[in-house]
Amino acid sequence: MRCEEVQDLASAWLDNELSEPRASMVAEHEAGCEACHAYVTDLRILAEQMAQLGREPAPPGLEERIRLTLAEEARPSVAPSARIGRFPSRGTVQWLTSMAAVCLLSVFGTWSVVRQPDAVASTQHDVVAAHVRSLLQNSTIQVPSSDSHTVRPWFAGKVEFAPPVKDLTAEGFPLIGGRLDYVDGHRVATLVYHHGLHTISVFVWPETSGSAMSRPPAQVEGLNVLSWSKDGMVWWAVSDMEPGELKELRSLL
Amino acid sequence: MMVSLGNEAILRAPKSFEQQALPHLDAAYSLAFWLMRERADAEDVVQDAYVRAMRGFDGFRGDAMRPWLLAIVRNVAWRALAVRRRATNNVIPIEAAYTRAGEDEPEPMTIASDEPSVETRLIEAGDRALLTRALDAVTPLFREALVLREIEGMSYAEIATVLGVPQGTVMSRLSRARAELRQRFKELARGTGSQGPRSGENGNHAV
Repeated sequence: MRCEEVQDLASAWLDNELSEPRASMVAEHEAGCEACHAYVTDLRILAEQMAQLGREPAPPGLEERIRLTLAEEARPSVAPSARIGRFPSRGTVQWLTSMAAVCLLSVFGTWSVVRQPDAVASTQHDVVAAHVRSLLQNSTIQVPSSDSHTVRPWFAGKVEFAPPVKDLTAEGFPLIGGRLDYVDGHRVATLVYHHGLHTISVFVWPETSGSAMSRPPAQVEGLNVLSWSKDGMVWWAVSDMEPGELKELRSLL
Repeated sequence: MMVSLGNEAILRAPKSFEQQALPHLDAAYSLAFWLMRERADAEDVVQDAYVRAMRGFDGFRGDAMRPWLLAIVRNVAWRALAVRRRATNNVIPIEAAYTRAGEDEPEPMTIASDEPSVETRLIEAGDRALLTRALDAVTPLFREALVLREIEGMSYAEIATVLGVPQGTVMSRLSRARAELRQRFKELARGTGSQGPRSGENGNHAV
């Protein structure tokens, strides 16, 4: 075995994850080769040192904040009647609560699916797909700029309307740029904003007769979706942000 | 409907998400911190990860919470790193390593074979600060593997679950990660003058 091979395998060997006969070959070589022995010793010391570093403990208060967030998150889907009684065992209450939530959700889900016109469902599908696709690519934007005077003209000639472009940096939603997407068989303008660590895709196109709407926030594949009409335009916002934050963005746009 | 629920069903009621996930908060924070290297960002990542984990809790089969949870923490952290990179318009060389790793076999790092040196005992025990800086300098893709192995003490199988890669990839990634950590450590040790200049020994000994 050559030194290079031995040093490639040294790490797995130290972890006892190397199978025979390679483990014995590494051991044999290492015992007789000064350079490889030094290398293995280095790795061993570094591993021990790292283990001694230990975990970076979570800051005080984080656990409490997470508990609150989780409680907040769970609240809308929990049936109020099931939340009151605490006399049965905790597990039972939680189980019944989740069953009730499941029932409610399925009833509501069926109701909303039946009620939802196909066109809206397909639009929602398109915008969610466009948002996810943009995150999978190297860049979510085609024209990077926080300057609305750069982004707005970029759309000229690419779509048949002038999308309203606002930079909301001061409000906590910096404009990152724009891109084109294909929704419902039309090219639409997409504005990309950031909020903290979240990326928000805002899709906008002109309203056609009968397409005016304002719907409650929806959740699709863990993403929150909000749509509304304003100034003759249809707006759809998709993000992993909380629905409340999406509504805040809506009020700013 | 509730009438049909037998005692058995109630006994099988799962432990709540909080009960299962919160004991791993330190592990989650530690991983997020080592990836983000920013306390506030790490806290955001962990909080976001817990919310996502709770939403996806139904998909959790209940065999091992820690790898499942850390996989979510890690994915949120990588997304946050990508956002940070785009926001600063600053392409970190690290990301190159990440892209390459997507192809599973990144080009060899030439670290292991580069210096099979006979410098003895370059690493003095107990220099935490130096080790931390060396670990900082390691690309995040390798850093996370090291943290999971050395600090979390995870098996290759568990690390494979967290990283979403085959075990063979865990093996080669850890090998390269340790080689890089060693090299960074040596560079820093040399830079701070606590080590002599590198010796000229550079040959490969075939056996």
